[in-house]
Amino acid sequence: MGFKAGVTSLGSILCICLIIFLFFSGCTDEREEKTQVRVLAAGSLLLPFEQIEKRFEEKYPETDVLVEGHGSIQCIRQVTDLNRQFDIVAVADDSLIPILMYRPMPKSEKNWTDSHELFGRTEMVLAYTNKSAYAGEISTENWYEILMKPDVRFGCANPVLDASGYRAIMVLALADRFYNRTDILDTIYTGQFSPGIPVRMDELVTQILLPDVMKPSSRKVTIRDGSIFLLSLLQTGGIDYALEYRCVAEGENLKYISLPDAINLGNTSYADNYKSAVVDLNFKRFSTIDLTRIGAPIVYAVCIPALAEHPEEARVFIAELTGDNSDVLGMPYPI
Amino acid sequence: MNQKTGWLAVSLIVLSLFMSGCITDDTDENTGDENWNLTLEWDGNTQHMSLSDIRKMPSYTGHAYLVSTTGIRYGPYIGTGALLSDIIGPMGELNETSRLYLYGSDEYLWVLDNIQLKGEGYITFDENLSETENQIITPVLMYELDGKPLSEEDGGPVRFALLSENPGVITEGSGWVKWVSKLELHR
Repeated sequence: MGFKAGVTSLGSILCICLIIFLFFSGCTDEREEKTQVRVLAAGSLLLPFEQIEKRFEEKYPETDVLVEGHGSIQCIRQVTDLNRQFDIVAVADDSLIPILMYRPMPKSEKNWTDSHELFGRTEMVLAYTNKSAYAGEISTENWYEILMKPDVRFGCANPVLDASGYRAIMVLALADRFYNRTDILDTIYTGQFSPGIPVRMDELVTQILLPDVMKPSSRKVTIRDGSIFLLSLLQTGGIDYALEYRCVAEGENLKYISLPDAINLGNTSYADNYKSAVVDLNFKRFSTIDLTRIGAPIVYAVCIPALAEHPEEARVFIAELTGDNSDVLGMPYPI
Repeated sequence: MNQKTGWLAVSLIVLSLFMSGCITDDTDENTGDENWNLTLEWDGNTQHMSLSDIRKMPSYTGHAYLVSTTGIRYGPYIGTGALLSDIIGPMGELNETSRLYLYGSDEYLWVLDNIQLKGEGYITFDENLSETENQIITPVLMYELDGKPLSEEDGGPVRFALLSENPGVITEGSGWVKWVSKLELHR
């Protein structure tokens, strides 16, 4: 092969190897040199978290925040069912963390987490644009009458996939009680499926029993997997109105109608009233979560999973969430 | 001496490449796939299919591109799998009330109605996530992605997928059940 022996050539070879090693070492991602804080966040938090991530990384340049978005239940499942390691889980429904994470990990006496912190609240609003039908007429007083008009198209997220989807149905159920009507929920939503979605109503509770496939039979109501698709339809005129979180509507610079506190799921003093709206999912999309969702104030919560790799950095990031975020677009209101 | 130095040099080069961490483990071959099987349940009947059984069925290859509920796109890929219509063929005729429950081994569940079982009624988007219409969608149990066996991370050995005839067609990802383990027909 013609190798030339000798101390000098061996030295040269060692130098070449060192150079190769150093060269290839450069392939490792620069991110690996920083402390990666891995965050799971509900879809409605992605816009504000993008801004907080930037601010946090400027403040702590040795950290690299990696945010991954899912529906709230899916966020938790990434940790509990799929065994993925994250430092922070932030969800749009505070009740989910005790239900799904205050449970022991497999082959361990420790829970997935033992505490969580509330860091934001929001309410349901009716989002629309200047192009929406009756945009010039709609108000906090007549919003449900506008939505009930046959030529108005209404949208909400799939209640099976997105908490804002079942919360939209709860708002309509609460509206029937608040306005002393019996036709709001039926005309706008449940009556737009074939067969119609069964609703059981008594003095205390309105219970909506959802079908296993959420497919409307008319163009009156449109259901999409997540808010992002509804917002896109709103902007393009595919729908006229959508029930959305206020922080999402504000984050997207959409016009919106505020709804009365008694029905908007945003005021804790109405918590008992909200309980009268109950949505039953017809199938268990996940075996770990109950089929019944009961109306409650919308509160965002965050926790550090027991297996977090960087719990200290996670605590610092959570402090950032609970601090002053008044300049962060789309951030839920502080508790 | 010459030969020794040569071997030493080769060893050092190999060692340095190994230590550099740049050699990725690109072995996508799934281990343990031979133990995987799919359970089919309908009208009191139960049938099992192995991966080999599914691979022997006529295959369909198309464009695989999906979007999560939060708007994250995965793809575009080329996917290959067995037609769902062939797999559920033994379950008999479908009617208006037919529903297919797809279970993943991670306890995930998704339901398709009779229209979707025929490949119709799916929401499709273009690359800008604007909705599109009249796309031809073929539901399959996918076992290959970009010509390689579907990795466990991507939902392998078998994942439910909506493949498109045309490139750039994106479908909603919520129904792309990973690690499919059971199909259950409800009438």
